[in-house]
Amino acid sequence: MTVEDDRAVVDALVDAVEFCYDQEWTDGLPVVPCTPERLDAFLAHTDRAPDEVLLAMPQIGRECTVRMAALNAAMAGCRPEYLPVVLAVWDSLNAEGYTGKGIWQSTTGTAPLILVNGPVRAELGVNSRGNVFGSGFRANATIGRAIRLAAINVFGLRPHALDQATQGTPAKYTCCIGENQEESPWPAFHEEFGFGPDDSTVTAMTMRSVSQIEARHTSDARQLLRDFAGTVARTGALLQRTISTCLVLSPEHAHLLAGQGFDKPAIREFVFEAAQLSREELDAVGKTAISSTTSWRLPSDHPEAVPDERVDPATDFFHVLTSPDAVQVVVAGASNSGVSAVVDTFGPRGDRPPLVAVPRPGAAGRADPQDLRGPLGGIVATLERDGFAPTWDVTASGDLTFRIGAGSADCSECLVPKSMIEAMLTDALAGTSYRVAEVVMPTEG
Amino acid sequence: MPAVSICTEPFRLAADAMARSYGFPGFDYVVTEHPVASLSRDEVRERVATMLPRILELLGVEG
Repeated sequence: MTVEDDRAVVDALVDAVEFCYDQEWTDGLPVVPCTPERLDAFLAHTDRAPDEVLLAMPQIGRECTVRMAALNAAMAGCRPEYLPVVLAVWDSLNAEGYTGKGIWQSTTGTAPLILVNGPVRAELGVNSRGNVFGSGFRANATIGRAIRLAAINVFGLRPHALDQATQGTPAKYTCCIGENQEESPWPAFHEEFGFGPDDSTVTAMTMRSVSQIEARHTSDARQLLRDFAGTVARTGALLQRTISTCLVLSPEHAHLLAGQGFDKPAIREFVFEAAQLSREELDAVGKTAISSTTSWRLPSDHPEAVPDERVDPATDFFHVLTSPDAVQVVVAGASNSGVSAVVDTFGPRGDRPPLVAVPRPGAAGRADPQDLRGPLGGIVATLERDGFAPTWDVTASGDLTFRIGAGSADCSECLVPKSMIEAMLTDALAGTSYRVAEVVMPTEG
Repeated sequence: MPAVSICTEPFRLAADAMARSYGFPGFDYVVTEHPVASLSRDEVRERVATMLPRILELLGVEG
């Protein structure tokens, strides 16, 4: 190409970027223009139907499909092979539940912390080491941005309109980190929750803020954990009855703790015990009581105030965390200093976090239906014996569609009712990562 | 049941956007000063009294 040709290409590209600005398709930064062919290249990385709904917001009557998620991932600057991770983020947000209930429209101004575990980190170049919350890595930058762009372009959640965030958070541009499993002394986050080391997962956690704890002053594990607990229990984070938290520990802090006998359960237990506030501290900020109508904290002289029964009458102290399980522990960052973070998460307050498996590359998104031959074997054998021809399909997120073809059966009415088939399948799938999405009876097929 | 929406001044943009997304551009609602969350019970009563004529107007009550 000549210099003139190069200029023409750049001019056309700038025009396309400016066109996207004119359409308000951005978070303020330039987006990558997308063509139908480029969108197809993204969709080739999943077998999920382009029209499958990933997340719905009934309050505004809008939903995000696989196609729209892929389009916004392309515009965010993702590579096509990032799509399975982006889809897993949507599945995790959907499972967590806050997003579908309108938290992205709230004045609170949250963003999801997106945690990536497993081999997919290395495959896509997800940074889990130095500057993990910072800039410089395409996968971290664009996977988080893909979610924000869809919030803007698919759900129409633009600031000063449907996004009513009072201040928002820098994490709204992106907040995607890998766990530094390689430099962690403990089993990885996803292994704690039952996944294997060869599995990859994504966990989205709605959060208000990331507070940095630079702590190089002590080599005493208990002092260090109390320092973290002081930030966990800060009154500004306590709006309702209790809070939850995610500790993102630098490898140096993690090894200091592990060296003195702390594993992740012991850290949870210690931080739960240490994260307490006194009645006096609650009084000082007007948060001693609970509202009888909203469960928000209030001054004790407020007309709606009811006493907080969690304040121990014997000690006048109060645990800000519901239980040790309200503490998540992740290792991330460089092995070069004692700098960790406390993330103010919305939940889970002791519930299981919403981990979602990322399909292995090459599997083209869809989980292998053959995996279910074991669990479904009994039901399949019974149906086949009666002359039916059962088949099934599973999505990457584990949704099972079970079709009962008529086969050689001459009496489709002989079949047990659909609700019973659904119950049998639900039982058969207990203990697997799959769930029954749909049963198609012979008369419906 | 007839109903009237009420919001405070800073939420006008969001209210208008919400109305458009439901297919009712220009939907009429009552606007009051911000804030409300920190008002005492008596202040809330005063606020309601001030808004009442406008609420009745939107409900189509003729005075």
